[in-house]
Amino acid sequence: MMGAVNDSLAAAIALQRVSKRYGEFDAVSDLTLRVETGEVLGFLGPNGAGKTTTIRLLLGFLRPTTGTVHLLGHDMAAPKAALYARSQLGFVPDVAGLDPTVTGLSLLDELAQLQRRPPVDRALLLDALELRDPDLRRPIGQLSRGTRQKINIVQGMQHRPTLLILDEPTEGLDPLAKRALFKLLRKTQMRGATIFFSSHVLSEVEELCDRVALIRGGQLAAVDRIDRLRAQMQRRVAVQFATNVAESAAHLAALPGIVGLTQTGGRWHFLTSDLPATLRLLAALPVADVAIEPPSLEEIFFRYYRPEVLHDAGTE
Amino acid sequence: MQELSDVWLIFRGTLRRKRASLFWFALSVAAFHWLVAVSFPALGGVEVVTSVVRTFPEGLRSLLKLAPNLQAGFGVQDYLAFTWIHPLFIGLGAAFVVSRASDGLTGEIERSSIYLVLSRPVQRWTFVLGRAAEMVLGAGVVSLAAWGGLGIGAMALPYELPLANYLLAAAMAWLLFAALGGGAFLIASFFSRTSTSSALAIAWTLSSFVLDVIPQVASSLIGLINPWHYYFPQEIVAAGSIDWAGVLVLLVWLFSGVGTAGWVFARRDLA
Repeated sequence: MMGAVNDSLAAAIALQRVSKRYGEFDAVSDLTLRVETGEVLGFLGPNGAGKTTTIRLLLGFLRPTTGTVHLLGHDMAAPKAALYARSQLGFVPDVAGLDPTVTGLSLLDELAQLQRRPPVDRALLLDALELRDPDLRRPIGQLSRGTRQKINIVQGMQHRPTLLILDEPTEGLDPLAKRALFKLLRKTQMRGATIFFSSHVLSEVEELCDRVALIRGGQLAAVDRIDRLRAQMQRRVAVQFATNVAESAAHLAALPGIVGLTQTGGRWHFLTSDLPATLRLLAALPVADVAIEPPSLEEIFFRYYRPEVLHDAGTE
Repeated sequence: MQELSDVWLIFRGTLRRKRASLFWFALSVAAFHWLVAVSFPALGGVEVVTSVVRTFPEGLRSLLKLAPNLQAGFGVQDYLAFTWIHPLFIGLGAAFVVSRASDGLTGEIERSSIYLVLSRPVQRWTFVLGRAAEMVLGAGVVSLAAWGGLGIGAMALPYELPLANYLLAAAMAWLLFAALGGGAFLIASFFSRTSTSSALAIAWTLSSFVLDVIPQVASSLIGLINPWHYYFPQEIVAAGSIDWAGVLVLLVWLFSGVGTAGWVFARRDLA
């Protein structure tokens, strides 16, 4: 049967040891990634890390030098299976790809016809993103970047895809439109669709995604749930002692796993990699107030990219 | 059947985007042919034009595919046939198909707009075929517009002119441009940069033209498969018929060029 699903690869996305080489340059190297059905995966990485190459490999625009790519269980190297996968796919690429000479409405109609699935969600999307009829009847080149991006989002989601791949979808959107998009994406997930969300805006990924994949230098640096990645990170602690301040601080400084102990405005700030031991010690000290902050996704991101950041700074 | 439907959708979408440029292009070509026709008396009529052509060295006449046998004279019919090989007309026609091929494939990659189409269940060869179909139609419209312009201009002249024969010349011009476009599509299918594919396609049209006016090459096997070899408007108009072997060669260029382009495009990385 055309597009027969391989049960062993029945994840929404399965990249198995995928590499893409251009001469001596490895754009993507030995990348293995599995995204389960119904999951929202955040795909993070700085410019040039291999995000776009990975998306193009996923969609079959590039052929992997080694490895296999399966979308919705279909091998993207097999032309007919790839067609079947793409019939269930929605892709929101960079907004620059929209033809400026056509109207939004004719573009949406044209792409819906090529999708071979009716644009059942178009009205809902237009309403949610506040895209008005006059905007849709003007050439795309005359529209603002935000409006163009809204049309871009509609074209990728109007046929109710099973798998949605978004590449920097919030570029150019105002905060209200971003909020509306996130609501739409949550609804999309609730009906069982899988979302692959590529971005460099960490707060958006943190808000929307169950798991994140961090790519660096064409290789996956980490793939995990955000809470698990947080658990691996140092916690930021701020504590205020009621009495015996200097002695208490000395106890803290002596505890293994505590770094960066500083005092500002009567509060001691530090990072700890052993939270249970820190809590045990604090329980024995005269603590007046304590605040423990989980690391943000930004801190996690910089933990993985610090060597690159330092390297870039050194070479500039 | 689904593939044919995709070809139709891509063809229709392309035509919708390009219709304004096609209209103005065709109108310009029509105006040029009209102008050449109506300006014939102002140039001095048959005697003056013949005397001017007689001053052309044989090599130049060969380059312009013009009046190989001047003993027969160079009348208004020949003069108007010359518009079909005029450097402006063939240059514009060749530029039209080269730009359609480069913009249709490499331009789409450069603008990233191709990803919107090919992320859908569309086979790549259908994309190439849809784009090529618009190029072929456009070349036909341009050639027909040239004939229309010439016909309107000829009505102002005090001569009986074989307009049906000029229509044959227009048909041959259409096939020539379509064949050149087939080669341009093949070239474009390998590249991702418009500047590269355009430069190489222009080189292809120019070099094949030049090779056809070198007698040693023109009479060789290369000459026989050269698209320009069969394009001799003065002869077509005089004889009132076209060389069917030439038609076949031009169709082979078109179909093999576009077909191979589709095959190459379906097997390459798009980036």
